[in-house]
Formats: sequence, C-alpha cells, structure tokens
Amino acid sequence: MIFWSILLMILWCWLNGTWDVANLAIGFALGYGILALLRQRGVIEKQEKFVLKPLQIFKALGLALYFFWELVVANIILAASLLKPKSKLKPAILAVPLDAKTDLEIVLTATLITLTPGTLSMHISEDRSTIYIHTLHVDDEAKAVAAIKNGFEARVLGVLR
Amino acid sequence: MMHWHYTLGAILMLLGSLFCLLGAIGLLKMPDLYCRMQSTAKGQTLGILLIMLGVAISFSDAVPSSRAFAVVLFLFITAPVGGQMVSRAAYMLGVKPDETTEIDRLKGEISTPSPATTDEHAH
Repeated sequence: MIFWSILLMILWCWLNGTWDVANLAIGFALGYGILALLRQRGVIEKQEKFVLKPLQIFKALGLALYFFWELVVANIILAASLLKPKSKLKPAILAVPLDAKTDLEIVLTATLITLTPGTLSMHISEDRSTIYIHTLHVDDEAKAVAAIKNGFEARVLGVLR
Repeated sequence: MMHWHYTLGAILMLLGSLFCLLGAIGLLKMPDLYCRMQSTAKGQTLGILLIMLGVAISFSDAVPSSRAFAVVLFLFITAPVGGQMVSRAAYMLGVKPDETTEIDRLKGEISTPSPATTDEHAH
C-alpha cells in the first residue's frame, strides 16, 4: 500500500507540475487516505499478485492498437450512415455468450465493446453467461455475434489469461 | 513550417470537433433511445481523443500532455458506464426499441412493466 501511495504521490506532483515538499506531502496523504478508505469499504481487496509477462505486454499493445483501429473505422462508418439522407438502420439487441469469467475480464470486454461506436453493452445475465449488446446495424445475426466474440472478447482473454 | 506542431495540433482538434458534431447530429437523427445513447455516450470518444491529442501535440510539453492523457483516460473509464446504465435502466422501465429493431434477445430476460406507458420521444 505504501508502494501505491508513493506512485500516486509521484503522479499527483507530475500532474500538478510542482515538486516541493508540501506538494509531495499532500500527494502522499491524499493517496494513502483514499487507498485506506477504499480498503476499509472493501472496494479493493488485499494485494493480488498480478504479474505481467512480457508476452502479455505485447498482446496488450496489440489490443490497444486493435481498439483504436476499430474506433476509427466504426466512427467513419457511423458518420457515413448518418450523413446519407435516407439511411436505413437495422438495430438489434444481440445475445452473445461469454467465455470471460472473472470480474476483470467481463468488465474489460463490456467496456471495450461499449467504447466502439455501433455497439453498446446493455446487460449481463445473472449467471454471467451472456452479454446483451445493442448494435446499430445488423444484417446477419450469427455473423455479428461471431464478430464481437472473436474480436474484443478473444483479444481481452488473450491478454489476461 | 517553423511551428509544425501547432498546425498538426490544430488539424487534430478540428477533426476531433467534427466527430463531436457528428455525435450531436446522431443524437437528433437516431430513431430511438438506445441508438441515441450510442451517439451521446460514446460517439464523442474519438472526438475527445483527437482534441486531447491535438492539445498534447500543440503544447509539446510533458505536463499538459500528461493532463490531456488523464482526461482521455478518465473519459474512457466513465463514459461506457454511463451509457450502459442509462440504456439498461431505460429497458427496465419499459422504453421500447424502435420497430426497426427486429432482433431483441433481451425481451423476457429483464422484467419490464407491461403497459407501454412510457414514451421515449419527449415533446
């Protein structure tokens, strides 16, 4: 926890742009206080061992690049369909079976799906087996489901597992 | 081209605001709440990203750049949560998707109030 407080302190001073003793102390106190509060409320558990392997870092970079590529492409497609005078959207709410199991895997998958334009994750079933995704334009349901499954979910799992 | 980074930053900022504008047009043109949510909640993610990239490049300095990075980071963490929550809450309240939505796998999965008393179009 001291380690993370020091990290937050450095971040605080970095973003503030001043490195005097008073500011360092404020940064440390804030970081430590917030972390202590989060731990007391049970928001963060005891330190989990999360060690990134070198291969995972490369995969994470790949995921980031893939995400930005998708973001740009999806935005251009969306823009084109918006600017056409008579665009026919075919929205659908899809049910996509989830392979992601842990909280982190599910949250990361759902967030990345939501961040790309055209898809919005709406709901996750109680048994965590299915994610419901609102999609702006669907021609072929099976294809759309497969695209989501093999796109973000597969890559997220590739990074985290 | 003495101040090339100002030019590049300005181009990126303009491009970003163009995408933000498209998000706003989408908000007006989309047929139902869920499609509108797509436009508002995250249609601007690329727009803000480009604007902040433009800010970082035109300053070309570590402190404003890291602040711009923080803006993008927190937007990317918070914007999807809002979009998800609003659309989910709307579905639970019984807001019907537009009739062009042929496939609705969520139907019957969440309990919704039966009569269609809620109207998504606020006049």
